[in-house]
Amino acid sequence: MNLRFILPISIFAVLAVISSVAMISLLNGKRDTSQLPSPLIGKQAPALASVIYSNLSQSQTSEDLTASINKGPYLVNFFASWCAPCQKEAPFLEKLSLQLPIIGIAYKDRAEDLSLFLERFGNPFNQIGFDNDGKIAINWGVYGIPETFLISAEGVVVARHAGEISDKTIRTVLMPKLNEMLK
Amino acid sequence: MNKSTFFKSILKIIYFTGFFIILLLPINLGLCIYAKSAFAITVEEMLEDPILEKRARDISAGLRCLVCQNQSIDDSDAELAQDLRRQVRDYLISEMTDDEIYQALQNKYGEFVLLSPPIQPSTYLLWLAPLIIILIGVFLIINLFRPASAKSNNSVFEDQTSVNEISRESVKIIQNTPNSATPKSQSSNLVRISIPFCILAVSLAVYLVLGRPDLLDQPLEKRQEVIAKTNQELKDRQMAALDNFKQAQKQVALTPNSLTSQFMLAATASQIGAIDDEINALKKALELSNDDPRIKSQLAEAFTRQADGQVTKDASRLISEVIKSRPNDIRALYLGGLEAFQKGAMREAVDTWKSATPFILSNSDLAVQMTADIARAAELANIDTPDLSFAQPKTQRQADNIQAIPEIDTNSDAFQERLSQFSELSADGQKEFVEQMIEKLAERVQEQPDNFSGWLQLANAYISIEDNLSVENALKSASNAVISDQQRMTLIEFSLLTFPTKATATLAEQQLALLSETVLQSNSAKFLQGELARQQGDTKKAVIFWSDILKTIPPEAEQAKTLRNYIMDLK
Repeated sequence: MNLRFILPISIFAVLAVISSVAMISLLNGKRDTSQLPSPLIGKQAPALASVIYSNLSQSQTSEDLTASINKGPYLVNFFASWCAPCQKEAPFLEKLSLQLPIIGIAYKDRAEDLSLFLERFGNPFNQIGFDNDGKIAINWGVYGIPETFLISAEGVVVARHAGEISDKTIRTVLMPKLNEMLK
Repeated sequence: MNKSTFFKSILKIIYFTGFFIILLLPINLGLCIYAKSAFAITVEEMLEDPILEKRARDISAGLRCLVCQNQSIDDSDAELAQDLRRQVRDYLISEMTDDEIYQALQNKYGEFVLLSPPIQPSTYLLWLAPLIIILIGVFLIINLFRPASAKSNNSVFEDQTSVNEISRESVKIIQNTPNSATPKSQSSNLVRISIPFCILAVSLAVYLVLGRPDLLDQPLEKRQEVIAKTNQELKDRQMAALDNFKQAQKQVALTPNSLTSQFMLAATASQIGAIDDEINALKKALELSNDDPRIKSQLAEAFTRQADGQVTKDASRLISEVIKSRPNDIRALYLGGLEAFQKGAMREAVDTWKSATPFILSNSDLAVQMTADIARAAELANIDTPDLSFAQPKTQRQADNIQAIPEIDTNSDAFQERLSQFSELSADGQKEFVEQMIEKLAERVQEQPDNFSGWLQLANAYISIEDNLSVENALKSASNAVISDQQRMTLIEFSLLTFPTKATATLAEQQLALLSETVLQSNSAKFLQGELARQQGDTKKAVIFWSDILKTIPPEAEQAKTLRNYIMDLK
């Protein structure tokens, strides 16, 4: 067999293999770009100062949301009353709230909508702050809500999960990291 | 058809298609530039500083919208993209460099936020792949065009047992032909080998002409340099504009009743963005110009600019007044159309804008904007975009651009341009500009010789260019237009106080004699009579008049004090 014949065929074959591998891994969800490792992991968590929600109202001044939390690891959950997956993840957050404190960041939300949401789906949060202009979200590198960060007692970002929390994510992402930390 | 020629022709078709695609690629890239005109950015996001805004757009074009993933945040309508665009602008305002901004966002979102991946060991393959593929293509093409003799020994088709006798014969004949004429075939080999290189060269040339070296391909450091330079230029221009503004302010303080100085103040204020000063100056200029519709429409435009492009009620009132008295006023027509557009009356907007087009030069920026605006309004109104006829530029006359200005002054872009032209004029040029304005004013006033305040304005204007003789003439003409004692008093006051010369004193004396007895007994008339006496050297008479006034006003009043000082000076 001759080079002139083999070469185009083999180049075609190589390209076909590459694209099918890419396609298969994309379909498997392995190349889900929203689950790319956050550059924040291993670094100090960005500040969480915002106006605070309590009882249908919001405070006038910006306060540190972590101040009220006792020592130990905690979760930061970006959510909103208008976001459907946030409703779905509410029971799982409720579950998690038994184990560690959760700070909620209400992304572009209103106090009255928020209170309805909490009434309906429960309030797993120790503290809720508003992110009305999306600046906190940008600061945390949030792609879109819901998104959850696990923060160590030292205030270092340990894990990030984009998308809703499910039993599976608790099992495969959050719990292993949490156990690792508590060891 | 035998098998070997069939395969050969298939291969040739594949190669040629491939190369045509490569050839067309740069053309497609080039077209991207024009396709980019649709963008997601909204007006309220934009920065006021055009250079920072340009940088913001450039940076945004290089950042990935993490929601839509294959769009830049510049193109995306997603909420996160909006927030990120705002963030980029915030960074720019805090004077971060492009590099720092990319880095800051990378620290939060990772490399994925950059639309074009950085060149580093892990991306070498990615960046080099196109080059490798092109090299392979060149190799294959050279191979394909290689003369038959060179490849006869290892031809894949020759070894096939299925090839029949006849085809074997024909192959032999084909092979023999080039061998029998060696020098000729060598030269044609050269041509064959050079074909792929020619195709590559043409592709490269097309890319260089139509490609987009303006954006991502250009190294960042290179852009930083340009950015620094343009920033500096902008700063210089702003400083110059500020100087002009200060000078105009001084001029206004000296001659507050001069139309020219008020107009200059408005012009320079607009340049530095001092919209309130601009509006005040325009209001005064409007008063002084006896409601000149051109100034009125400028004021309407200033109101609109003050309201961030919304045609306000005040502006709307002015616009309708202007359109009544000056139906060809481009600025008023434009604003009128804008008002209709903002109200949602698209058809009206189209009609109003369309009626302005015959007065707009077809090669002006405004013509482009107008065409786009009309098209948009027509689309919203669900009607066909009407045919537009713009004014044809007469002849290129760069030299007397200044003279052409009053004709094209009534649109916002040309207005800005004229302002910058004004500040770029030399002192002589500015003077000439002012003189031309005054000339126009004079023409207008001469058309209506009964216009008393018009004459006074003209006199004021002449004062600002120190044309004393013309001031006196204007005042004389004004005296012929006087119809009331009040106007007469104004004229006397002007002659004695604003512009005291011998000729005007004589004029004042004549006018005083014409005043009615009751008016003559008024304090202001007495004051003016005293002033006239003082100017004529009759101090005694002056003291008598002024002392008369003192008797009638309370001694502790401000005026009394001033008057006593005057009398003291005389004595």
